[in-house]
Amino acid sequence: MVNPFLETFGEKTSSAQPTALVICGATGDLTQRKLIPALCNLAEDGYLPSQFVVIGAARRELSDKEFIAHLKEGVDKFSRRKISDEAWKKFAKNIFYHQLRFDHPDDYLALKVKLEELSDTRKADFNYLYYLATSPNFFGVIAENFDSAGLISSDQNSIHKTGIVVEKPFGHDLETAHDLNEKLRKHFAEKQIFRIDHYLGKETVQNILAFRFSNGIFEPLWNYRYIDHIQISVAETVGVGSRAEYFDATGVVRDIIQNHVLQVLSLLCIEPPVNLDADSIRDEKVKVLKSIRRFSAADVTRETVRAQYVSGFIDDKQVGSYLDEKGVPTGSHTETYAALALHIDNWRWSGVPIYVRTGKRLPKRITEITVYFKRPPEALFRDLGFQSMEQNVLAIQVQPKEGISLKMNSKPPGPKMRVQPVVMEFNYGHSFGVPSPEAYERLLLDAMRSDSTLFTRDDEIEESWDILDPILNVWENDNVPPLYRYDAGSWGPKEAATLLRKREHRWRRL
Amino acid sequence: MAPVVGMKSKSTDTFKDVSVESIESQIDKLKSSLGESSHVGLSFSSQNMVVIASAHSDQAKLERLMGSLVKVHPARFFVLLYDTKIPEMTLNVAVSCQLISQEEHICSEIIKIRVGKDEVLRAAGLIRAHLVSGVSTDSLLFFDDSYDVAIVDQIVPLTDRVVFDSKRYDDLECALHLRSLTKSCVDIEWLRLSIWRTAIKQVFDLNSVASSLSCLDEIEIKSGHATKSFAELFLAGWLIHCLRFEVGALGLGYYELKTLKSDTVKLRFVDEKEDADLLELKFTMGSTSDACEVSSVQIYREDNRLRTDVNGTFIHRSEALLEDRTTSEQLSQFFLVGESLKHYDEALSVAVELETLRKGYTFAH
Repeated sequence: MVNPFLETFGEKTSSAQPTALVICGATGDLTQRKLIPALCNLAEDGYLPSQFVVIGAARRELSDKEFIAHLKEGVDKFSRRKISDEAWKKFAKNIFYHQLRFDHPDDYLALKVKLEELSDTRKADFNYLYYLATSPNFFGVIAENFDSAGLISSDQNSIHKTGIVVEKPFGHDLETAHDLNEKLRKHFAEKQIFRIDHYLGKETVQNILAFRFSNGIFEPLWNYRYIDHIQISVAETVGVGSRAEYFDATGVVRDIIQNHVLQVLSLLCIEPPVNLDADSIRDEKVKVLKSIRRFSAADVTRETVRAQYVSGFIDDKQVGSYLDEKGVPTGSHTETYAALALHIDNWRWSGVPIYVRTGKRLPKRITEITVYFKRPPEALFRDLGFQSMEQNVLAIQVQPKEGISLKMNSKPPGPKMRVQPVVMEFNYGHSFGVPSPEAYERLLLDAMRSDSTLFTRDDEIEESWDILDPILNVWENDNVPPLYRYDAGSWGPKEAATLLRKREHRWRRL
Repeated sequence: MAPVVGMKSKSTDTFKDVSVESIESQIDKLKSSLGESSHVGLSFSSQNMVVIASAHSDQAKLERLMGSLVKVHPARFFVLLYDTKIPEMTLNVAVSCQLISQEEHICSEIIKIRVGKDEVLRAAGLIRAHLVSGVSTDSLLFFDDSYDVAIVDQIVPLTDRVVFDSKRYDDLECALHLRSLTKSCVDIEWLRLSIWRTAIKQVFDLNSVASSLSCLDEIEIKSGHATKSFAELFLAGWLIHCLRFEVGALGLGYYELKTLKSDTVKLRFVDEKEDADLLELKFTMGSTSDACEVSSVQIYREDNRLRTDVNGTFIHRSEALLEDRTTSEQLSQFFLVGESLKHYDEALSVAVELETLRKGYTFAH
């Protein structure tokens, strides 16, 4: 029987029930920088279930007190707002540490005892949510041991619902992604698996659906008849930092395009879903991914650009080349910049190129989706002596500032008839008067509520690898196109501009 | 009323007296006096709020409320201080900004209007002329006790939504009246019930508990009457609406509710001499069987916790922290986090029906 009180909250899923969040790999950076600050902010805003505990699980031997002190440093440094000592003390009462060597089954049995004790002392029946903040190499063994210890319930109506949250990378290519999915599905149903792509937790990305489907004026224009082309740019100023080993084996296509960019693209281009249920939305996203034209070897040469940065200036600071970064192997061929021209072969998007670019050591940190509309006929203004009118451009900025702007042509004041572009801006802070939550806040809460809408499904992952595998294979095996170089602090190699010039397009100046 | 000053805020030092003609220019001057640093931009919020208060209201309380509102619901505020004895309308303005990120301040403009009975229409005209165009407008009633219909009827219809606390008024008719004046309303009494509604929703998320509703025999709501409240009526109204029951006859100490299958469920209100609005909600099922594994669901206040116990072929328990929030805290929670207002109208309508029946019964005695 359906809960008669559910719909009255205007929510499509339940609110979060008593939850025990077990973070595996809890002594790592992610927990300190992102997860605990996000949980603290959720607690501050009253979103956490009133019965909530976090159990940090990792190989090291640590006391609760030491673990809590380690987390406090992270909260002080990384929380989006200051968490008062009083609020922290209140929150920290719910934090525990448990030594968990991933391949020691006994440690899992001890974890089970700990969870049951907490359930007794807190007088609550907890749902169990396991967050794997570890290398994917451990996903299989951890899932296996949770299962053997009786810590997984497949019955979602049971008192202890169980879920597992995993972080990217979701594989290195289609084959490894498939293997990883298989390993998880052996112990968890797909509905219990939450694959985090933190871009989907960002307000502007979530707003794409609201923007497209709750405004009567845009959706009729959202197709090949009115849209000229789309650009998706993810620019970072940072180099590889302490992630050299991981990054060098990965590159920006695997690190950024396979997940963030293709997720954003699929949301931007989906057909209206039948409703807002997780699977209805994800079904439509998969259709978009399936419709993206696969690259032949010739396409890879023609429609992709890859490059690596050499030394240059960002702001007024000189930075070294990628090959000089600590931990990068000599002669590495890993791309730190990539630009692709994608095509969606379906009715709505036929003939609309979608350009994506991402890179490290670019001039500024910015993520933007830019939709260029087709120009109007210029007959009326042809004789006025100015150059061709600018296109209407809708820019959705995902970071650092979240907002939407629309460029339109307008007549400036004065006696002459002229046309000049002006920009209408919508800014999240300005319009709603409150800061946006961090992506992890929304995603953690959704995982606790078993709402998988903003998480990536297994078939989405596999489709995105299916798109990118041919590119990566040609790059790696045939070495075409060559790995170009670009100055740190520039917008990438000149070949990236050429990629667009073929169709008389230009990258937007960000 | 002093503007809000804090570590992460900046504001004009005092309210500036203004004439009607110079409201906008004075606000512009105040804005530019706050200036912009090279890193921090000033934005002005894009919503309106009219706060209607009695000039005799507790001003310290009102100040606290405004201090909290500029943080959580930045807007162009019109603070209307009403007193029948004020001979002539006076105006003053201030600007208050909050740092919401490292790069941005959000600022509120506060226009304070002191007005007497004869000039309510003038004040309404002034507000209408100075509302930020094309954006949502709330009104907030801040009367210590019953409100003056004359001012409410003039001002509230200028807004899209009215925020009020039905607990402050003598009967639910006031809530019905306010509801009729705008497109939607936010009743703080309803917000207080949120934790109870959440607990109910959560326990019925369990399939076996939801299934046992088919065996529901009685709903009992215990409340303390040391304070005046309509909480028990609202809660009953909401339950009856969600369960798609109808209010039938009033029996001896209970109401008869008709289910969709024309069965009868009893609704009983029990008064306790305690200083709390709601104390306990209990669902009693007729019998346990395969279909009905649950014999009772009890949600009750114990110290500062709201506990839930499910008894039957299995036992389930959970609890939530009960926080006694002030009006400002309740509104902060509402504006920052949000709260469902869905089915408030229906709950209110059933609550009024229950209250009317009760009054009729009392009268007949």
